[in-house]
Amino acid sequence: MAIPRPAYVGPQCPRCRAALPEERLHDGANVCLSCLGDFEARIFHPPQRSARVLQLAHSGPEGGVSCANHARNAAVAACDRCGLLICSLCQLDVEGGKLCPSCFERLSQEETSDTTRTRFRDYGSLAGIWAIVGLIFSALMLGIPLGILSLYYCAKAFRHRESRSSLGFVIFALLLAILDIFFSTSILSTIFRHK
Amino acid sequence: MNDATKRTRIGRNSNFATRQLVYRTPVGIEIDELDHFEIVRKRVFYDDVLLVTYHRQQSWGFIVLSALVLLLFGILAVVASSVPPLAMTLAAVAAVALILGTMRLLMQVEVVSVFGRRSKAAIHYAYRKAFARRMYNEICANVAAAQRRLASEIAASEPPEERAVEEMPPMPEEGTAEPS
Repeated sequence: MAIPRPAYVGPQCPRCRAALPEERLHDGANVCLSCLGDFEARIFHPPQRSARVLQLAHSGPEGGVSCANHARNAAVAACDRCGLLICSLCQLDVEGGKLCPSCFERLSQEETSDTTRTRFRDYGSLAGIWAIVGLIFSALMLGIPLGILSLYYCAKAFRHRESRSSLGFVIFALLLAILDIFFSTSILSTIFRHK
Repeated sequence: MNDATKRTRIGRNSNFATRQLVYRTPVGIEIDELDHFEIVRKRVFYDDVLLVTYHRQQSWGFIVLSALVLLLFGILAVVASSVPPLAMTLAAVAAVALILGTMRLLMQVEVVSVFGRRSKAAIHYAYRKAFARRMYNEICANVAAAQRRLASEIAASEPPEERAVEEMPPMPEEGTAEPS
């Protein structure tokens, strides 16, 4: 279970995490007034993106179609997923396409889009853990099923590259899984040979 | 994988409670927090960055852990002094802990923090000091470039301001010219 942390509210002191008012900050060396710790800082003022909303009343003599969510706003696009007509307030540019808020919400819940996805299964760690457990219990012949399970997770880790913690670790887990299977198989063959 | 999802690992931020891997992408910083067998991904986009900081701090957790390992294996080495090979092995482990702890105490940890409007990222560098400084400079340069690009995009998308037309005085009609 993840440890709950206080919500992020904006720039903080990198040492004591006390809130840093912008007026007290400047480019270069700074000192936190809470902990008296020093740090180097570079301040930025990101430009605000403002969506210009075209209202139906100002959309010209031809008139416009109204947005499905905002009756007074003129639609400027159609959602690429459901075809709903949306105004510039509702329009969300995702992976080169235009989505309405409800489709964006659905995509992020289904976690089908790489951009909206925030949770991934760490197949690399799973492969590593099962390979190590398999190696420990390889004398009990568990190296074969656990090695195969580890190989399966290695394949998943190679396929889902975005959910891989480290390539080196996956290769290590792969070698360990092969070793598990080899150990258990050799023990099994030795037992059968002696019988 | 398109350009926006290409990423390179630039560091980590790990302590007793958290394990984070930090990546750089063309559009921002990505933080992969490892929570058991699940990765929770967060992003700080260059467009959104308000502050980038750089400082040096002591990593007390690592130093305390090294001291505990040194103490434990040192005591075990003394206890096992009657068996020289075992005592030497235990002493070697204690020596490694001593070296690592002392190195960390002297060198400290470089921390680069990136604060956005909605999220933040911290990258800890225990040994690669020059790399930490380079990353700080590169992140600052990338943020400045991204925000400049965004500002120019916003400026380009805004309608051109109507220029005030200088009104000319009415031309005098023929025959009505005032006598000079």
